[in-house]
Amino acid sequence: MSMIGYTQLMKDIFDVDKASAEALLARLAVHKPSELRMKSLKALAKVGEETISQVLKLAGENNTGGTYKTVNAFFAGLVKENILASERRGQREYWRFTEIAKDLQRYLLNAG
Amino acid sequence: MIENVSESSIESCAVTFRLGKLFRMKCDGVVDLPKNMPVPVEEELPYVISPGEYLLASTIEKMNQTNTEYAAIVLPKSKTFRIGLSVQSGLVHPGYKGEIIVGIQNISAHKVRLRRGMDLVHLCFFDVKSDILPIHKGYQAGKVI
Repeated sequence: MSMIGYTQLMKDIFDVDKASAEALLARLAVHKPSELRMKSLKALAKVGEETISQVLKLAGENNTGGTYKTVNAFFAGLVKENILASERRGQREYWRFTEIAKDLQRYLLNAG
Repeated sequence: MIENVSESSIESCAVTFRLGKLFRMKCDGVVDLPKNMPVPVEEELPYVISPGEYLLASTIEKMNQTNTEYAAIVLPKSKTFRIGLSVQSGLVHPGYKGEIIVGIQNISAHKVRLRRGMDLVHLCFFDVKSDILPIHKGYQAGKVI
């Protein structure tokens, strides 16, 4: 008989591999995650897949000009880290978390 | 595994469960089960528990174990005995579904205010090595008695 510890509890209750999520967070930190950028990433985590414009709307932010550009640059950086993936459909570009970043997505959802 | 739980409730090796609802035994001096059953406390939370008063409490968090891997021991949060409450608790069997029911008694000489959402108990989970018996249906789904 052994007592269940924090990481196993997190995995069983929230299906979050904290070690994996934290490793991804460390990679994410390189891309200057400002409050606006993290708010947008959390909005994307919530909705699953969306355009930056819609993500910004969901986050309650202005979705034009500099706000759009800064989040676009952030998301593009996360694609290089293999945290996000983007897909162009017609005129629009849709963004989502990659399979390996699902723990980070759930972590961001639980972080509120 | 647990419903209505937030990440902040996860401790290093336990999960905090918070006070949800209060119940008291309705009887005319003698408790005689099953004639006397607990009834919800009429007053809304926060409720002021008097010295010596004994109540039953259910938690906001709800067990919903899909497998029978873990058993849990329910232990009072130190906060409860610091403010003069004694919390009677027991064991959660593998596969249990429902709220956790505990007894609360005010063992201090002063009144204590009980608020909904106050930290009440924490559950320490243990893995169960061998096969288990099916859980007793009578105590499933957070039945108070």
